[in-house]
Amino acid sequence: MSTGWKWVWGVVVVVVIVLAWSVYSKENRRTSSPESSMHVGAVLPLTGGLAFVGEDYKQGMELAAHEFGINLVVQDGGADPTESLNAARQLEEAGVDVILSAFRGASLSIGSSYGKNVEGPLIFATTATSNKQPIGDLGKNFFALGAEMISAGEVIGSYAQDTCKSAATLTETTDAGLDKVAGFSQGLGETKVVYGDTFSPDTTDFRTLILKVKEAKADCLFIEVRSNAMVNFLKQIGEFEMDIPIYTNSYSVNADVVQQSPSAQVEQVIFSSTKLYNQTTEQKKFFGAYRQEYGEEPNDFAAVGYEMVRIIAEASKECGRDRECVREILRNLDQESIVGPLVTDQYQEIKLTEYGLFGVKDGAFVTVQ
Amino acid sequence: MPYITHLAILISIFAMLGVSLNLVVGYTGLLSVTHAAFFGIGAYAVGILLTTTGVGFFTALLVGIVVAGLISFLIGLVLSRFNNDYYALASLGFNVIIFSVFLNWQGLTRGPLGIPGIDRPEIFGFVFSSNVHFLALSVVVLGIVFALAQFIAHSSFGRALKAIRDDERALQVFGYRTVSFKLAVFMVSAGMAAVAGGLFASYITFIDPSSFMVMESVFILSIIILGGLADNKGAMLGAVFLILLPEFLRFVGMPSDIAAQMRQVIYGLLLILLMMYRPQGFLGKYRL
Repeated sequence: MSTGWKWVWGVVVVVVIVLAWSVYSKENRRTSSPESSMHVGAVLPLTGGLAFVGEDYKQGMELAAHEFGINLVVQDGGADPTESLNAARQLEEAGVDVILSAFRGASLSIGSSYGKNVEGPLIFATTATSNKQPIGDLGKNFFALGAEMISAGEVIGSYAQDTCKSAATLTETTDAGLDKVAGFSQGLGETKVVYGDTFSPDTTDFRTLILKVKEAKADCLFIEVRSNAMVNFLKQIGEFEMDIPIYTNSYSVNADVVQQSPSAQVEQVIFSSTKLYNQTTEQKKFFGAYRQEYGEEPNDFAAVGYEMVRIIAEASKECGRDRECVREILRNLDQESIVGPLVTDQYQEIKLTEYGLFGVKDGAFVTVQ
Repeated sequence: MPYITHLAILISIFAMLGVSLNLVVGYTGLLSVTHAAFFGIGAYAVGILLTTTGVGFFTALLVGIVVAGLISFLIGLVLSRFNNDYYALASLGFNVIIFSVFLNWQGLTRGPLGIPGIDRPEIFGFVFSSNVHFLALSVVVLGIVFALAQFIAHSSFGRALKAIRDDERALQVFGYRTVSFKLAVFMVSAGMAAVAGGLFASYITFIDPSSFMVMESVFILSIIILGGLADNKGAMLGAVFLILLPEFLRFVGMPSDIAAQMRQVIYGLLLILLMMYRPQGFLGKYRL
């Protein structure tokens, strides 16, 4: 046997030993979840550029799973279509009844594979579809929540049109970013977009773009940028002493952004979001539980993750592990939630029927509209 | 079982990519970092044609091969001016250009929105809708690609390629037009990558530009370096190893808070260790 093949066999032996150990330790750690309730798997980006949002979803989902006694297994898909499908297949093999997912590429690769297969696990995705770019029929086994989170641009564009006569738009080159800019421009009506540009999602230095916006003499600016880069953006806007209303959405703004950004700039920000910040009793309860568990403020993504698991848990109370029964409940969903009213439409899109605009005042979120 | 079948399909697709790139990198010694671009061209050709026209999968695949062949001809003409590190850098540049086309030519590719709902292959009314059937198809295609690569490697053409790798100048002294050899093998390799791309698009049924970035080219290159340069069996073994290793790490019981991050760290560490102790790869005879 050549040295090369000895190496191959060596690797195989190591793999078998580690797998055996893993199976043994899993048997000993097996949790006692009720067999009658849905087994839920989630494929989220826990690594890569969208991990900061994936972690929010995960924390929200785990909080709900703990609260409602649901067996939840989370796998990393890195927001990559192939990686996510790998994770989904593994969850299917592990016997989950429902696969939760987030983001378009990941959700559509899973949805395309399982959407028409009612024998497979039910697919429940979020931030996967948008009102502007409907994905068509992925099958009766595929449900998507919160297309509005991707289509949010139009809401804020309509709000901006009264005060803004010439707008600039900056967006990262992602499906959601392009969707939101298209929505914003449409919402602006007669207002002209005098400058529009895109940038790579991993951009952290926005000075060149800011200078171009300044040169274009825009009255207002719409930006779609990851919240972890929004702080940089606001600081750099401050460097050029630009006094301009900044329109964005909950993807770009969270409590950390408010804390870490210069107050003069962050108070120029108006963002669209779910109704999470309305402070109803249910929302206060969620905020309290989240703070206690994770020591931080929840955001839209955490809240949506929480709602996804809650919806499945409540359906499971009625249906047990009967997937068709759960599908029927999802098809006819019309209920209040911590992110606002949720209603399923004829395309199995679970709509957030109300959406809010928020600003920042003295380090806290305030309702604008 | 569905999980295993799924991984087997991915392995067969990436083995095709490994075997095809091995012709250029392993046998000819040209460090190409543009393979994901041809993979993407095949995928987009099939994705676009199946979702917007009435043509069948195999016709679309043929179009993908032809388009990849033509584009690789143009790219190859430029690349054949370079050698060694310069070749790698220039080829990387082409990958970036083609990725940008996928991302920005929204009228054709739908840009970052991607193309969902790509149909599975169909031949004489038989649809490869189940994954087991798709696996059978991809294994057959892999067999054809492997046989073709073996034939090339052991032919007089293949011997010329190896001679280019070992000493291109010496070959030129004997009157060989090495540019033609380099161009021909580059086009054949691109065509094979397009086949893998077509199968990939039809299997995942959704494609977007993120699957064809420069990092994907680096991943394919890793397959052949790990499996062993200038050995087609090594390229297949590399695909098996690099597809299964991260999946295998999903089963290692780590605390859920750090499992995803640790999985990537361990994956990277294992690759570093393997390269330290087995730099020529599992079955390879050469080093880069």
